[in-house]
Amino acid sequence: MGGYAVESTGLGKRFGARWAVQDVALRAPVGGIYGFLGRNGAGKTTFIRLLLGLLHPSAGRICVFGHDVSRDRIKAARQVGALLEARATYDQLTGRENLNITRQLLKLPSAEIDRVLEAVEMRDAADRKLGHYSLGMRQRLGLARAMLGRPRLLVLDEPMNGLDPDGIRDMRDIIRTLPERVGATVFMSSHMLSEVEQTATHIGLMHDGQLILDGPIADMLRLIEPELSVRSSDPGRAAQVLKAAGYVTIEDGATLLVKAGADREAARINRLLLDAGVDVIELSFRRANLEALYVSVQHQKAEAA
Amino acid sequence: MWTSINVEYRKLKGSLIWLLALVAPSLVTVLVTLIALRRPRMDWEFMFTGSTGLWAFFVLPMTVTALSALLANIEHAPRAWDHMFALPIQRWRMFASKAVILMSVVGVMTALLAVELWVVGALFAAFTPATAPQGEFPWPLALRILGMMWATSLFMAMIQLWVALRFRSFIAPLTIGLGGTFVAVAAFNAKEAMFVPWAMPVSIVGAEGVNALPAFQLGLVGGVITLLAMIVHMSRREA
Repeated sequence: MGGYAVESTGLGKRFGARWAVQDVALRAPVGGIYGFLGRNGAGKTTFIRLLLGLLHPSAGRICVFGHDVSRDRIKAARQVGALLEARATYDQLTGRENLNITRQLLKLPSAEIDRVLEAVEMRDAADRKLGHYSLGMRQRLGLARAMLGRPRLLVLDEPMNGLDPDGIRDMRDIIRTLPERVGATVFMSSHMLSEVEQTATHIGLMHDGQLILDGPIADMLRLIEPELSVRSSDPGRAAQVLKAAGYVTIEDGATLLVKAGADREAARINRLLLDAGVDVIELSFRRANLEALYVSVQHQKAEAA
Repeated sequence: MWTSINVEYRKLKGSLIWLLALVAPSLVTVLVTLIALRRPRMDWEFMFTGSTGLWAFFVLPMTVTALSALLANIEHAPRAWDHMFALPIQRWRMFASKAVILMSVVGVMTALLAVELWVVGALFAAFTPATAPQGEFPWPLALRILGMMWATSLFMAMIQLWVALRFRSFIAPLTIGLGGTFVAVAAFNAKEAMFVPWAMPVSIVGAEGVNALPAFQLGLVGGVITLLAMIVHMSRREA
């Protein structure tokens, strides 16, 4: 199990009778950015806690660079730097003092602090107390702390949560360049699909504790059939008409997504709706993106249930 | 291990712990000074025993309760446990370091009490010799009694620390601390008081010291066992 930064087999975690994570076989390749997706309660955080050795698996195992987290936590943890909670810092201390605590515990040289501060562009604010930091600065400091000791794997749990647009852009730029700049694999959980799409090379999608998609993002997006987005005067009636005509439709708010990729099908759908007395406001092809994939998969799961 | 202790010490910067460590023994000193003003020329030994009784009876257990809660809260408040537990270090070191810091602060307070009492005596001798405590400051007695009290308080301190580390809320350690102190006060005159961890330190000076040695032994042994149990439990617990 040494070819992957993170590899789990049959991984499960049960709390009482409920499986929070069940039979998860995930592979995050070395050198990439793995976007770990799923709605709240899907099992992402539980998986990350298993990955960091904060929880013990109820079934299966999880390895970091080949080290079994349960059997050899210290060796596995040496490969990992984690950003879990932006506020998990000591507010009475300065940014530099906070980093120094982790540096001392990891027995690293003092120069390591300046290196990581440089990496997240935080040198100027390092000597201010954390009580005066914005959330974005805290996130960057948390990332700097995770980078202490040049870990081979950076685990970032919702690194863009709560950030303003500027903060999101800054964080995205930093994360995107991490594999190249510091040589680390990034494992990042998020429910901000557009951000993951812009940063990740691979994705995994959790749903009800199970991993339902796992692979390179480009391959995943190829799974989506082209979709036509239809805005009409009566979405309900439009769905009925198109279903009757044999089309697969997904209601996405006031918009109807129709599995149809060709231009002539767009023309046919337009004609069908007009003939049925439904006014068509907009017809457009949707680019295959992560959001479309996410909606499509969630829809399939809901239908299967 | 030294690194972990040093890190724990650094985390105390800006916390209320040092203020508490200064105020708690000073409170006893102020009270004793007021008593000394009303009862001039007290015997030093009597004055010292009274002071340490006051210290062990109420101030020490309440201070240990507050200190342990503050120490645990350094990690609870910012939810820092996950970060600490994810690091490649043995978890037992973190808990052992917290215990070392707690007992060190209790030690500093105990020493401060002795020094403050000596200073009060010196001030009396310098400014109002007629009312100063009689004789020399009983350093050998002070070292023996305060040293035994400090060691005996290990049992109570480890129980308090365990509860404070286990529960995020202040309520749990506060309830245990208040409850323990109340039981200690209520059982003070009973023979069995020396079996109550919160009453053990006062047994060092209470009942003319007949329970001093068994209380000291119980406190020390119970404290070490509780410390080990806490470390095993907290290290194995899922974060």
